[in-house]
Amino acid sequence: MKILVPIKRVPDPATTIRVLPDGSGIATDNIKWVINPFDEIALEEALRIKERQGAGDVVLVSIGQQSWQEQLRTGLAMGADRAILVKAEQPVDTFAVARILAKIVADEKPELVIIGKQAIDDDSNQVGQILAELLGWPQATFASKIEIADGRCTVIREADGGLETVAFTLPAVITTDLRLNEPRYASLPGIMKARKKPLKEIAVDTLGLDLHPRVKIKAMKAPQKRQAGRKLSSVQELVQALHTEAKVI
Amino acid sequence: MITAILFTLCMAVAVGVFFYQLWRRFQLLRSAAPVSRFDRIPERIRTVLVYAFGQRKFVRRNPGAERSAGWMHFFIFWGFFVLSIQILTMFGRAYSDSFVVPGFGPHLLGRPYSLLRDFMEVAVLFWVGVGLVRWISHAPRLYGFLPPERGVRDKSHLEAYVILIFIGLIMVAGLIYDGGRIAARSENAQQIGGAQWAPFSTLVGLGLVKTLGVTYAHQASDVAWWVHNLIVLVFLDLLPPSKHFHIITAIPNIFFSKLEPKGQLSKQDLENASRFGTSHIDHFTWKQVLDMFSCTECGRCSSNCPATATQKPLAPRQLLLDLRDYLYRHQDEMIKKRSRRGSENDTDVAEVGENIVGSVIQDETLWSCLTCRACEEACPPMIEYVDKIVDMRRHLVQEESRFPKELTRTFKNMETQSNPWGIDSEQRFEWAAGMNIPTLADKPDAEFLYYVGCAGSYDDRNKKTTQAFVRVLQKAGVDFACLGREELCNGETARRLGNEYLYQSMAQMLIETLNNYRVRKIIVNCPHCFNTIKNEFPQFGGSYEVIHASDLVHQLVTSGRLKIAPEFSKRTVYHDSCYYGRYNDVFDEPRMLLSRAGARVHEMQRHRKFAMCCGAGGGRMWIEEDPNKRVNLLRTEQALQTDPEVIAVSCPYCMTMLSDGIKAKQLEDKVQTLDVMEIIDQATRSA
Repeated sequence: MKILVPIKRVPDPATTIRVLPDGSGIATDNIKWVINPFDEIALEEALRIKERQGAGDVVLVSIGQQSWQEQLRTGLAMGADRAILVKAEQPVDTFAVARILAKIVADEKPELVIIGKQAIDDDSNQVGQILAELLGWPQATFASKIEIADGRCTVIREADGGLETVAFTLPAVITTDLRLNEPRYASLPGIMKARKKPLKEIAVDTLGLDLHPRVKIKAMKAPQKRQAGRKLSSVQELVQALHTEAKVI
Repeated sequence: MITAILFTLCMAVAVGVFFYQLWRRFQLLRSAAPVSRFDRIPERIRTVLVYAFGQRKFVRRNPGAERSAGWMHFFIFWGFFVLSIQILTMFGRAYSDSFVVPGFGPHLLGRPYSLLRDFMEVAVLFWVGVGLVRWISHAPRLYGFLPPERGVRDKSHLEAYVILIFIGLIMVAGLIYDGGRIAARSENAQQIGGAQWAPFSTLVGLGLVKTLGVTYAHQASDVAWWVHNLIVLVFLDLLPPSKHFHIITAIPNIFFSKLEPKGQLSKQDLENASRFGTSHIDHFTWKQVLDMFSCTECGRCSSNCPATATQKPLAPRQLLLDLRDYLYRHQDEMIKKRSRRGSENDTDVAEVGENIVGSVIQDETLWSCLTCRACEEACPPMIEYVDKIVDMRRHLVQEESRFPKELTRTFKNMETQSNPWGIDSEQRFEWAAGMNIPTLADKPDAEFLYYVGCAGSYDDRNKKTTQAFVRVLQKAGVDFACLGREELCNGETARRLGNEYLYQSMAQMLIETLNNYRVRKIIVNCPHCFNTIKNEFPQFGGSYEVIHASDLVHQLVTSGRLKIAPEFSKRTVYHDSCYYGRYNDVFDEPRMLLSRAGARVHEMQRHRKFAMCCGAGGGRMWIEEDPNKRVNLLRTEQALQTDPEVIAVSCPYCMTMLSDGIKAKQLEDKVQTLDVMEIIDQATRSA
C-alpha cells in the first residue's frame, strides 16, 4: 500500500521561542529544528502499517525551503522510501498547504494519507480536514488506533471525554493524536541508507495552483510573563482581592 | 627398558593430544577479529611481573573476595613454577635413574632446589586441602551464585574437585617418590647432601620404611613415579577444554591487557564500517576471545558487581561464560571461516552462528551494566567486560535501534538541545546569573576553561554545586572563564549507551568549539566529563590538560592561595565515583580536602578501588529501574552503616542517586548529601 505522509519542520519543543521586535514572526537563529512530533507519529504509523503488510511505499512530502531537506532525510532514515520537497520560499497558509498536498495526492495516487493532527508551531489543526474535503475522501481525525483490513479502515479517535470508533473504505485521510504510537529512533544503517534514497524537489510555482493566502498574520506577541503570586494573610483579604481586583466574585 | 618404552608411548599420546587441542584453540584465536596489542612491550612485561608473578590481585585487601583463597592461589601458582623442574626430572627418570635437569645436579642448584621443592610440595598440599574444604563448606555461597548466575549455579563443580585432587596427588606422589628413593638407597641420600636438604621427603621415606620395610618402600617409590607422571599427563590434556586453560592463557592475557586509559572505549570508524557493533561470535577480537579462554569461573567479578547484587539479569561471570561456551560450540565453524577468508574475498564471508544479542546474551543483561568496572578491577587475569558489553550495546542501538524506550527521549534531547535533560540549550548558563562569570568570548585569554557539563548546568541540585565551586575559584583568584551558552555536551552518556554515532558527532562539535578558542587547560567538576575529555577526546583530535576540581583546589590550598578553616567538623563518609576512582585513580585529593576542611572522614567497607557504583553510570541514569532493586538504595545503605552526618560526593550523578537514596529513607533531616566543593565553599567562608 502506498502511504503519503506530509511532514512539517517546526522548532524543537524545548526551544524558547522569541518573537521578533517588529512582531512579524519569530527569531529563527539558534533554533533547533525537528519534524513536527504529530507528523513523526504519522510517519511511525505508516512504517508500522508497511511492516505489518510486508510491503508498501511510504512517501514523505514537505513544503518549504531547501533546508527542510534535513527533516526529510531524518524521515527517510526512520524508514520512509522516498521524499518530495515542494520548494516554497514564502510561508504558505493551511489552505494553500492542503491544495498543494491535494495536487501531490493526485500525482502520487496513495491509498492513504496520514498526517499529524496539528503542527506544534501554529497549532492550526486544519490541513488534514481541508485536504480530505478537497479530495472528497473520508477522514478520521485524532486517531489513537488504526486497523486496516481488506481496503477497510477502522480508527479509534480521541473525542472530548471519550473514544469514538469510525470505519470507512480507503482511500482516506487520517490525522494522528499523541497516543497512537511512540516513534522509533533511526538506526545507523537507516541513516546511511537515507543519504542515497530519492528526494525529489518540485518548485511550487510549477504546480499551477492558486496559493494566495486566506490568512494573514498581522502581528505576533509573546505571552505575558506570569506574575509572581502574592501571599495574603486572611480569608477576608482574599475575598476582598477577588472582588475588587480580580473582579471574579 | 620396558618402563622407558611404556612411558614414552603414554607421553607421546598425551602430549600429542595436548598440542592438537592447543593448536585448535590457537586457530580459533586467529580466526577472531583483529586488534592491536603488540605495542609498548616493556609496560606489558611490567604488568605481567606485577599481576601474574606478583599475584597482585590475589594477595591484596579486597572486600569482595576472601584473602585466604588469594594466598591459596599464590602458592599453587608458584608451586607450578617450582615443581615444573621436578616434573621434568621425574619424566627424565624414565630413561636414566640418575637424570637431573641440567644445572640441578648435586653440586649446583640440586640441593637448594630439593629443599625448595619439598617446601612447595607441602605448602601446595596444605593449600589444596584448604581449597577442598572451601569448596565443600562455603565457597559457592561466598562467591555469588546469585540469581543471574543460572548456568554456574546449576553446573556440577566436578572440574574443581578433580583438579584439586589431581594437584594434591601430584604432590603426594612426588613426596613418596623422593622419600622412597631416599629411604631405599642411602647413597641417594648422600648425593642430595643429607636430610636437611629434603626434610619432608626424608620424613615420608622414613615413614615408608617403618610401615612397609625397605623393599616395599622402594616399590612404593616406583608406583608413585607412575602415578605422578600419568596424572601430570592426564592433567595436561584436561587443560584446554576446562577452566584450567587459564594456566596457559592467563599470563598472555595479562600481557595483552589494555594499556590505553581505562576509561577510553574503542573508536569506531563509522564511515567505512560494514557493521556498527558486535552481534555475532566472530565479531569479537582475538583479545576478547583470549579473555574467554582465561576465565577461571572464580566469581570475583560477579561478587563485586552492583547489578548482580541488586538482582539484575547481569552477572559478569555468567555473561563471559555464556560467550565462551557459545564460542567453543562454534569452534569448527570459526576456524573454517578463517580458511575460507583466505581464499575468497574476505568481506563476503558469512557470519558464524546466530545473532547472539537477544538470544545468547539478553538485551536486559546488557542494559543492566553500569560500566563501573568493579568486575575488571576484581578480575585476576584482567579480563575486560565493559568493552564487550558496550560493543553489543552498539549493535543494539545503532543497528537494531532496540533499547529501553525512555532512552529515545534521552538521545533526541542530546541531539537537539545538547543535554540529556532536553532543557533549552539557551538556559545552559542561567546558573551563573548575578555571579559575574566571564565567558571565553569575553575573555579569550583566561588561563583555564571551567567546563561545567550538563548536570552542573541544568539540574537544580547540582547547579548549587557549580555555584559553590565557582565561589571557591573566585575566592582563590583563579583566572578562568566558561563557555556559557556556547558550551556543548561531550556525549559521554551516548557513548556508554552504545550510541557511538551520536557521541562522535557531539564530541567533534565540542572539540571544534574548544579548538576555536585555543583552549589548553580545562577544569571540570564531573568525573564523567573528566574521563571523556581527558581520555577519549584525544581520539578525535582534542588534547587538553584536564584538571579535576579537587586536584586544583588541593593545589590552591597547599600553596596558600585559598584559606580554609578546619571547622567542618561533621562525621563524613566519602563515596568514590567510578569515573574518578577506579577509572582515573583519583582517590586521595578529595579525602585530603575533606580533612583540611576539618571533616571527620570515615570509609565504607567498599571504598577506593572497590567502591560500589551509585547506580547512574553507563547511562543507567536515564533508564528506569525497578523500585525494589535499586542500586542507589543499596549504596545509600552501605553509607548509612558508617553512621554519617554527611555523605560527600564528587560527581553530580552520585549526588542525584545518593540524595535520592537518603530521601527514600526519609533521613534528609539527619544526613546531608554534599559535594566536596560545597564543603570547601563552606570552609572558605569561615576562614
